[in-house]
Amino acid sequence: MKGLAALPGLVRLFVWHCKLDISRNMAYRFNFVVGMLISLLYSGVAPVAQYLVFSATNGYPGWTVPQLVLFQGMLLFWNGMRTMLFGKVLQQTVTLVRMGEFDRLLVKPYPPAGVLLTGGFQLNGLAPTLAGAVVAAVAFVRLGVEWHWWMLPLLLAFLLAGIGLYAALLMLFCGVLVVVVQMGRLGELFERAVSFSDYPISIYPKAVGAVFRFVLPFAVWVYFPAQTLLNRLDAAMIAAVVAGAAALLVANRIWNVLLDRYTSAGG
Amino acid sequence: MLKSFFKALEMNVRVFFQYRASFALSLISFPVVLIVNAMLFERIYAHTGTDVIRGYSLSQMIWYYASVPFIYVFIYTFTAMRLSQRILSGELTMDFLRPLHIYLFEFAHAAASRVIGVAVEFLPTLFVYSLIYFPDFLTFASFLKFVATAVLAFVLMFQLNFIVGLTAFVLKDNRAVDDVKNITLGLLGGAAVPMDFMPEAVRRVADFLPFQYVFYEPLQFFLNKPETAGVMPLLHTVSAQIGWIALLFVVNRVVWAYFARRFCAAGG
Repeated sequence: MKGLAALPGLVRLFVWHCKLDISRNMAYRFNFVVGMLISLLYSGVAPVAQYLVFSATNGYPGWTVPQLVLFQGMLLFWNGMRTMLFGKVLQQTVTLVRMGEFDRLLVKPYPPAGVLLTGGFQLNGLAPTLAGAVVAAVAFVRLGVEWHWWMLPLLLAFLLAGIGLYAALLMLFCGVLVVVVQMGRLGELFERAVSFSDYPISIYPKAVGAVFRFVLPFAVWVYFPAQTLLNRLDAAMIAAVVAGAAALLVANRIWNVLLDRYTSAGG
Repeated sequence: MLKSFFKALEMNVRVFFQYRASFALSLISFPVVLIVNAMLFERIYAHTGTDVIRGYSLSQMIWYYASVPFIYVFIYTFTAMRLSQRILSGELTMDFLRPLHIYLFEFAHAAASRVIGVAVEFLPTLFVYSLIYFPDFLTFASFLKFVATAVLAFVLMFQLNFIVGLTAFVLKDNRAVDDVKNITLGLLGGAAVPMDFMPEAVRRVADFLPFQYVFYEPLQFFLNKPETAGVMPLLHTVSAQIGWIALLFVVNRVVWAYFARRFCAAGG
């Protein structure tokens, strides 16, 4: 099964993985509660650090402290969301490849990339997701920005495009893992790459900012959703959503090329 | 015993050397950190209209954040996770029979990975960093002071990691404790933000803990901050590091002795 035809099955597979992870977590409730708290703390370190620097300076041009709190809320939300949806993907891929178990994915009825991406659910990401949503909502109310009906569909479009872009990047890194086998610094490289979105895109030089708006639209993860809630619309938002979806198609092509280079443990 | 230790060290260096390409990926990932921070802080300093923020010049601030990965190169080990896995799998039983104590074997493993890390990651990345953003503050003396304190930071971190590893005797899976340690290092050690930005109360708490001697203090020497001029600040930091290492070593030995007698793996 290929392309869009595989989508309903992959969604079912994802739901099945979610149920499995939730059941697993419920079996070890204490570990689950501790894991949620730690996940919240982990995701909160970067926003706290950024806030401390921001409050000791004049901050970023065009951003006040309450606006930055809203941005931090969105950042916490996105960090939680990506952990929840794809938290296990890279580690699972490297385990499968190193243990020689990746071969069995090749004979499954669904595309291997789809199977890898749908198996990454991690319930621990729920805590920062909820905390981020609450922080952003409170900041939004305190800022007194007027709510418009179009904000919700726009936020949903960013979320979907953001998931597509993140899945595309994961697919690329999984493709590299399939070829190089050893994880080493790849996970770190991935985290460093996506950390560009931890700051408002407007602080980057124009050329770099343009890349993050149109080419690799990291802006859809945190910056554009925050801008939407601040009622600061930008024509680049539509382009970013399109680019986010297109990234998935490009990544799929590259994945197929990398998959051809896969050598099984058996030779 | 010393001969066995160096043999273990040599063996682990050989193993890690096989993954040198993976280590060398830092040459791509680390400069990303420098570039992001350069763009970020150039805007912040320009917007704030000052040359110095909380005692950091622009280049020092950029290099502080860019150099945090350097410290990780010196200190990062898998000790806590490896101990947990050995306890979970029961492999620890075999370790009791070996002529080399597991503490020394793990130290050799950790040291070997860091020897490769420093050779393949730290030195080349420092060179690449310098081409991108020249460290105008760095002197030969401050570099040597940094290396001395970073090496001790590795030993200190190993003690902390071994203690976290020992928690697996009780918890089996010690990932949560390891995560707590990492978060604490980030906030109370200066890995996430320089301690100078922390509220006074937090700094006072951090003064009674070992974490800032892993990140914050070595980086102060690297950045050649005025407070680190002369020999006395170095002596102060080194003696504090050695003091913490000695204390944590004793804790390790006592806790190990307690749990090793009670350890029971599958089969007996």
